[in-house]
Amino acid sequence: MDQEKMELMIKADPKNESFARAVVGAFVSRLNPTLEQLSDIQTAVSEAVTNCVVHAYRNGAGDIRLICEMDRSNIKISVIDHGCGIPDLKRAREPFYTTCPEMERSGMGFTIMEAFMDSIEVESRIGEGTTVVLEKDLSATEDDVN
Amino acid sequence: MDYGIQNDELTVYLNEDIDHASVMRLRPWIEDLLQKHRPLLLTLDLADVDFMDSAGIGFVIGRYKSMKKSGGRLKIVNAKSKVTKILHMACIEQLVEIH
Repeated sequence: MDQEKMELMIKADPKNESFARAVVGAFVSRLNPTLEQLSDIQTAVSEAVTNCVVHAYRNGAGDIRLICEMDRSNIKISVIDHGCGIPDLKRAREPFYTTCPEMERSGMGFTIMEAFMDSIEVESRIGEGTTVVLEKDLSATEDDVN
Repeated sequence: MDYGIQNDELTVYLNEDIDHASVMRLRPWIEDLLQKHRPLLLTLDLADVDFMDSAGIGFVIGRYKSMKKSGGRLKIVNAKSKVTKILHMACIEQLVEIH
């Protein structure tokens, strides 16, 4: 398949979490992923978008931009916000670490993104925002990954 | 979402994606049911749940804590493999029976 690109701009609203993963799922479906690959990608996107809603824009409204690119069997998804930024990125990526225990947040968002995608890159600046880049090669089998 | 009561068991049937948005609605609804019926066993039937992310982990751990506080226990039944995959990542099976 030739290179393809899709961009989506949504408000940081809880109802857009399911919308974002549905749109990304439809886009990724062009590469004929397995059901498991599709579910993994949608889950990772849901985590990234939810982080924007819950953390990045905790003090107000804002927009979330998703850029999805596919090249042959590779899918790359960038989730960009212009929210508060992540003060301690290393700690934020630790399993079960959450700044919102009162909201019953599990602190497993980044762990799931790492487990379900081939790679994840996070860039964050305090007061400017965060970009999460998720990548997955759909031609890789479980054996390749392991 | 629906529920049934039999003796001391409250069974809750969930039939939607379990994410941050749905958990904000489900949590107070189930907590009200727990307050009202005081069950010894809460069973979450996830047969009709096709998606769960980390919000579901927090939701399950929250209900586990509620049941433990009242001397009861929590059980999960009929979860699909993609849902158990998420739950296993947080080792939920060490806290909750999963059938």
